[in-house]
Amino acid sequence: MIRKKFKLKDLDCGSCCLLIDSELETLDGVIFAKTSYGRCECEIEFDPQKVDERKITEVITKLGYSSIPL
Amino acid sequence: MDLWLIFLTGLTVGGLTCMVVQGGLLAGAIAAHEEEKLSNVHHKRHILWPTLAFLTTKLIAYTILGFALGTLGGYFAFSDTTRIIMQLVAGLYMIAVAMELLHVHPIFKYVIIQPPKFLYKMVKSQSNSQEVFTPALLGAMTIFIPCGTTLAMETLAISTGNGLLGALVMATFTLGTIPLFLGLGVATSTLGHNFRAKFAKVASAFLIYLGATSINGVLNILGSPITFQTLAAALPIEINLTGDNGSSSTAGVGLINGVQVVDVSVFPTSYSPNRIQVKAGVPVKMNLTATGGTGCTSFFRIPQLSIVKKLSQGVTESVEFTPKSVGTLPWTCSMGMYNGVIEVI
Repeated sequence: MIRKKFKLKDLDCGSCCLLIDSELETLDGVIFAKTSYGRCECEIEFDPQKVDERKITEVITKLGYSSIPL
Repeated sequence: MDLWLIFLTGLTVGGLTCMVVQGGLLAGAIAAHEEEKLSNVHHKRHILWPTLAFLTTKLIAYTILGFALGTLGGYFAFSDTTRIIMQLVAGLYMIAVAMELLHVHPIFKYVIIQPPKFLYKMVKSQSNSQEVFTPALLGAMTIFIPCGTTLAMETLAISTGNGLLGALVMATFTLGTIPLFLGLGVATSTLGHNFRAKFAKVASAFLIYLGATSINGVLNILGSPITFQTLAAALPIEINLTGDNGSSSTAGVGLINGVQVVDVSVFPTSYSPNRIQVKAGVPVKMNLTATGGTGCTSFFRIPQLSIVKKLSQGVTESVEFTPKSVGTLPWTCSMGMYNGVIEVI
């Protein structure tokens, strides 16, 4: 299990964070995702065997936001 | 209470935040239900009915919530002071959210309240259900995931201290969120960043105005020498901020048994007359009759004399005092948004 932080951009509302966390957690291999609007960051814990950074950023981008792994 | 302003705030802010999350949930609910059907064709009608059901129950749920919040506010009636503080907090919060939407400074990011995750999960699990009633149930459950502005509206509802007013506030705001939902439909969940960004600018304009009106109301109630009204009076151009069409009369004060008596009709958003002249040192009796419906004018205040009187529809209540010195004594409604003036000569 690894923990990674992603910097998020284009967050327009507090509810956006819920959406992102919710979608990420539906991915197989993601243990949890926690987005902080204040810090514009998403902390995510996942199993690198099942999911990778590319897949994670893909989900975030599909929702309409952009992200950079920290 | 400027309901138009609340409606417009819902129209813009609601479009921004509510649609993103709620649109997504509703889309999920419709999709889950559609899977039950054998047909692959995506009829528009299949989206319309669930959306209407969703919006109807959402409106009903928020109206009831508003009523509960307003009643709660009046109950704890906390003191009048606490109510005023809540109105101030609601106003400040709205301005802060507007500052964040305009990206004025990163520090404003911290005022954006995120709904608790466990509540969102509860609502989301409902949206995954395939039951026919899901969209309707979902609509009502959205009260558990309020966004920042909705919370500011809820604070405003509590601060009205009145169940009916609270219900009006929440119902009007929710009504504002409806047109865009219907117009753009569930596709709102796929709106891009550009749309949201543009919307944010418009929304923040309304938030600033609504927030400023709340704060100004507090200033009026506290009898502050500086308010929008006094600033407008000081300007050389004529600006009417009393909330009505400016029909003021100074007639109507009669002397009965040594008391200056005047009758004032109190309407939901105005007073008639809204300007009276009385002599200093002589007792005054104002007969106030509330007609035409409830509004925040159901409370009558003369801040500088610390007078607060509750008015009931169709009943005449009287306020008595003796003005000591020459000057002006403004009067206002419970939230400080509609006023009149007593000129003491």
